[in-house]
Amino acid sequence: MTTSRSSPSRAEDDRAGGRDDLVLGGHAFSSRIILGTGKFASNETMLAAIRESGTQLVTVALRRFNVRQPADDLLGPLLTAEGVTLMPNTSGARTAAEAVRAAELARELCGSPFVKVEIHPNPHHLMPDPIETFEACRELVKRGFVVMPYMPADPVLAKRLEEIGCASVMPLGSAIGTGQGIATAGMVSLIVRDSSIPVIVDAGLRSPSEAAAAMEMGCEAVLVNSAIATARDPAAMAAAFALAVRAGRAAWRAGLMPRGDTASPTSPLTSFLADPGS
Amino acid sequence: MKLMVNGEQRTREGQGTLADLLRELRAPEGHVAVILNGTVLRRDRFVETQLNEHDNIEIIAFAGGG
Repeated sequence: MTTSRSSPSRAEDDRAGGRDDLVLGGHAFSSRIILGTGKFASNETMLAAIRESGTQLVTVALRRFNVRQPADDLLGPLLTAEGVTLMPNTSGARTAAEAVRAAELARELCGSPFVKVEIHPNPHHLMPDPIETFEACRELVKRGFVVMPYMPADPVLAKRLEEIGCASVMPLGSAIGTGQGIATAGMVSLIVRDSSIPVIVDAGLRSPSEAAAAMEMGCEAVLVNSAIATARDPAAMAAAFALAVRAGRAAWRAGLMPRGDTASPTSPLTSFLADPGS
Repeated sequence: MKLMVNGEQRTREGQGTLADLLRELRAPEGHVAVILNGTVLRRDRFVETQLNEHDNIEIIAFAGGG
């Protein structure tokens, strides 16, 4: 996968003081893995995965408080995780208006300016509704949120979301929870090529190598949930993803060689071994 | 008085505030948000907000999600 958007030059690095931060709406993060908190067997397992992944940005969802299980609390344990910022999502919203209400509720709950806009009306495929997503993002930017839309891998929509002030775009690799990897690789590359805001692959990742591939394409981060939460050992898988994301980012910064259609020898082909008698 | 709490009918004796109700439900303090009759309520208003007959109260908390 080749893109015309080049990796940062040495000079750019020096200006940034040698740091390679992920910057979202003016907030800098050294980790490039965003972790979802769904599907974990327990809060303890979730916290171990947060630790091992090194994540600094964690997504949460909203739901009705369970009157029959009042002790069932996610925020308490999450507040014990050091250096972690919460990014509530608007899952469950089917319209822009519902998503805006969810975002306001979440901000009231945790005070975080981050919101992952997620509007998927169809439970069968969970594909994001581009029109409602766009409308919700426009309103949430006006209301001062750091807006991170989960979106179809569409370069036109990505540009439109950038123009209205989103902090990033988060195209899907494949359908949520399927583990089918980056089925949208070609489109994600086109988005990266033209984007001036961070591109983050969200949904569909199953293996660390897929996360590395996303980073090698020039994505600035990945959002992972099921692949880690449903692994046999979530903490160990979180550590594996963290390594892969670092490797992929380092490769992108190092600048991948161009892909060729014909062979190009790495060894001299001078035929000094030819039999002089022939 | 009759209240609607998270979509379920509830009967409560006497006067009280939203903060009282949350305490009775053992909601973790500071970890829930409330929509009262369709409006998102700021947390610092829970103590002063009196419950009224037929109030519709949605209590929202964080859950795991990606």
